[in-house]
Amino acid sequence: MQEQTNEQNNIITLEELRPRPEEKKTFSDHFMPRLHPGILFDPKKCTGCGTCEMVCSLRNVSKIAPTSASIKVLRDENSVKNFAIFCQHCRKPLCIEACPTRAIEKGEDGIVRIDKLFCVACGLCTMACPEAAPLQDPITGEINKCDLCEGDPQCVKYCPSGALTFTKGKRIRWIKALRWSVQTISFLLLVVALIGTFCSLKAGALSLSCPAGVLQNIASSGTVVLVWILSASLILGLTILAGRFFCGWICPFGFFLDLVDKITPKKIGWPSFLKSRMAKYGILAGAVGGSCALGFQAFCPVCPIGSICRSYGAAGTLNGANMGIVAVLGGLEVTERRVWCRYFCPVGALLALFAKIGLIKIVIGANQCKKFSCVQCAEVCPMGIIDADKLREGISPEIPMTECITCMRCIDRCPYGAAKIRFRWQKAVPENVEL
Amino acid sequence: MKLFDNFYNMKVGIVDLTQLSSEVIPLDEQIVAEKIGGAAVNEDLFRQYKDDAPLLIGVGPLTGSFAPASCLSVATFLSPRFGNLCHVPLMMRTGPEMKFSGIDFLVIKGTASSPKILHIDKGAIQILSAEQFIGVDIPEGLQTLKKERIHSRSILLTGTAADHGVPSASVSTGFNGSLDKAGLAFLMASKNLKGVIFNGTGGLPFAEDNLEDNETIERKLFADEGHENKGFLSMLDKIGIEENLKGVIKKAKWRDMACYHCPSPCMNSVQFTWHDPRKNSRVEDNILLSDHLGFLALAKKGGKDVFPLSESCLRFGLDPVAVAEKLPENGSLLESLNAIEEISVTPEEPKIKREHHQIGEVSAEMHNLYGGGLPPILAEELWKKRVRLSMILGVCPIFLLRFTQISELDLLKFLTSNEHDLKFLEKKEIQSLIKK
Amino acid sequence: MANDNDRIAEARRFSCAYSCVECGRCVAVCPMAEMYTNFSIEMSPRGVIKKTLVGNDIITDENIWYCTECNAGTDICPQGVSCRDLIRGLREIAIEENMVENLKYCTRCGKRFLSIPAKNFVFERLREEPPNVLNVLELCPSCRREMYMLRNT
Repeated sequence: MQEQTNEQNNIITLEELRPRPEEKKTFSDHFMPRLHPGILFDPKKCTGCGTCEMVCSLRNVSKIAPTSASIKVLRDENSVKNFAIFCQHCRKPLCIEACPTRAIEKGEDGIVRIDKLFCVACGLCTMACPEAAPLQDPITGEINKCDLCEGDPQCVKYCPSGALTFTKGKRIRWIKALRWSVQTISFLLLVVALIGTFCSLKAGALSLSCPAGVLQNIASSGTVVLVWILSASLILGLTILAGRFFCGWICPFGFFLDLVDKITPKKIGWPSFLKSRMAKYGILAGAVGGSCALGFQAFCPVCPIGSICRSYGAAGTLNGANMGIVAVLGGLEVTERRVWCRYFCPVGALLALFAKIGLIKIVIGANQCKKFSCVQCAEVCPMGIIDADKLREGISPEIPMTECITCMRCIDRCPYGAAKIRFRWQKAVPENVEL
Repeated sequence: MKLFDNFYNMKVGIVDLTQLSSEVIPLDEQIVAEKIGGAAVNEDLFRQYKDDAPLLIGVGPLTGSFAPASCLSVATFLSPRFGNLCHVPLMMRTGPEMKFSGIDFLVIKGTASSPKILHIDKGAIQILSAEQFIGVDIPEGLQTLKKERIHSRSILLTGTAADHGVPSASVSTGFNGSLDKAGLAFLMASKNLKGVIFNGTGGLPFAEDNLEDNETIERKLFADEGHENKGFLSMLDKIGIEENLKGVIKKAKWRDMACYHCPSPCMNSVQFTWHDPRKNSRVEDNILLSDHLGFLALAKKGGKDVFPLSESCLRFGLDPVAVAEKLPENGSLLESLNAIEEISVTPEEPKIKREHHQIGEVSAEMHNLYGGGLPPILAEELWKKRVRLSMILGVCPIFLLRFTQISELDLLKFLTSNEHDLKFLEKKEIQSLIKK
Repeated sequence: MANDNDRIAEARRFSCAYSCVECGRCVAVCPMAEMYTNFSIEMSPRGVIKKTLVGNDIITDENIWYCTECNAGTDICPQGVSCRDLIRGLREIAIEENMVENLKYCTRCGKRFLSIPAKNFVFERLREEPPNVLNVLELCPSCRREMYMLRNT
């Protein structure tokens, strides 16, 4: 029996006839990526009434027939909990990969649809879907998959307890808009308007100075001046309140790195043997020790944050050797995001020590997270501290606040409200009640 | 009658357990035109087959439709506990799934020689052997069903109490118990019938203005306080419950549960941990609370031990009201649990109860006629009217009892929007169609 | 084995295999052409029907395990032959003879739910997915839904 390939048999496959569309990214997609529409389900509110199945089947077969719906309500006898299974319209749908007849497409509006013209109801989409969301009609044999009722989902409308809600997907997100504004203003203030600041700024009676710089100053000069401590403590106080907020929202070098990240989207990866988050504590210790030994602030002259701050203006050192450091560190961004902040920054290290005793924490609730189809939080986190594998297992990952720069990109991106900010003492999951 | 063609399969299933045969015959249109459906048609069929001591399960025209709380199927039989003809409401999803599996009324007659379980799917009735379900409690029985890969969307099962011939045995829809206090499980066990499984895959046609009618009802509901404080607790409030008990339930309340297409849940699922004195360890359990009177009866005797006691009753398939009567007055949890286990294995002759006292605002006689489990929250005349209406149309009686502002006309609108037909139906005085 | 021949005859009768006129419409709509690079006439519905009609050794043939049971062939057949019923019937006989190497079993509940060639196709298309996604795909659809529910509540 000769085995002939499709080519030799002159078979044109549907893959060739209907090639998968390239993911088109418009200009605005780079800066303001779209959040796609979807139905959100809150298991705590679901009463198991099955009205969603009824109205969905109306759309599919014009009858009230719960087994012909595109949504399935699971009723677990043992835990007496209810759960609705329906298509999540994943960002990277597995059903599209598996469909042999190319019947499934993800539209411009983000909705994943099965084209009945090409569908042969083989059921391989169900086999590929991690939650087996496409449902086979027991009477007609057709595959029923949610298509969000073209933007007006009926199940959401008729759910009596409000367990199903619809999220349209948005472009502009307010935390992102706010953060970029604050970063820009801070950059303009610290670099352009008030030169040489962050390192130390005097505005009348108020003075503000870099905590790492103050530490080195104390170490090198051997004296402690109360004004220095007080002025450094403004930033440290902010850190205790809001974690490494400075790193995410105020630091001008951080702003510079974020801008570089925007033009270097493809990352080539940082060598794993150099991935020590403890290195920055070493550099901090070295800076302080060096200041003590040398009698002047050891790190401040080469600090990239300071270099940027002092770069503008008549007395600015824009063309100096210092800018070479800034350029090199900026160039490292092709390997990973915020490389400097993750592994090397002594200011960040000092702030991390204070963030450890901070008041807030970022929580990613595994109960609300959609796991397989999303993990956007892990992809968008600039510090790479969200464990996507744990999320896929259904475990809430522990977010180390010493590393988190409180940029809140995760909270902004999560369409399910699973990523949120809480006080350190707040328990995220309700406890079982004892009698 | 043409009016009901869309709401019924027009099929009756007849099962003869003695002969181990089953057949599906067409439903007589005359009966439907006269008696509409539900308990009224059940009565008629009961008279037809009364020589064979039948058990009848039937649905109403609105069962499975877009009418609110359209979950009802009614079991009609001669009650071994009360001595008269009883109509027991079966909620959750039994009614719609029966209709979707192709049968409107089920007549079960005769007695099988060995334990059997019925499986109804796509208009056909299969009588399967139920040997592996005997002697196992209800959760295990459900697991066995899963392992046997028997497709099911609604299950009526009796527990070990019924196997042992305990008269206070109660049938259970899934693991959720039921409002059966009339001895339906005892009757089924005497027929060697372990349970009935429905696998509904069909559907019902739908009229456009059903959505509008649904909205009218929802608007009426939103204005009602009883709907706001939904769940088990609000029902207990209406019947009457002590404050400290309320606190126990509130702490453990987990989520509201509702039957088929019910906008206002009256059940709760609770998750609780308790110290099991028999195993001497902490156990975590989940149960669905749906039987209000049963819960109150157990709470009176057991106080805050009501949850593990309820779990025990559910597990063995026992009526909590009858069990509570037999529990020791100030017994410990261990004593009560042992007592329940004792009850579940002690066969007895059913003592036909002739009570002459009130249950809430309803006379015992009237209350027992409808299964003995419906909450007595209205005056007797109105209570009787609402319950009868619900049992004929196929809508949940508890829903109609709670919301008296939902009128007969509101429900009939789901059957037809034709003025002439509506008038005809109203004139029939549906709630008077049940004779007994 | 003699019993098998009877059952194969029953499968032929039940699926109306004798009515086949070898028009090839079933092959034209069959998704197997898209799935398998070694798609051949022997694997196609027409080929399986033909082999069933001429002999009784179809049970041991590996070609009955490629089908996805989608029913497209049955829908389009002008003669009313149900290739899906035939494949199902033949597979049942093979399973009773304990020839189950070509079947995928759910790693949680043990139910048979997919044929190995179809499963290989799906896994090949999804080869770039991380391992914990691929592990979930080893479960049957009901178990997947239950596990999803257990993880999320």
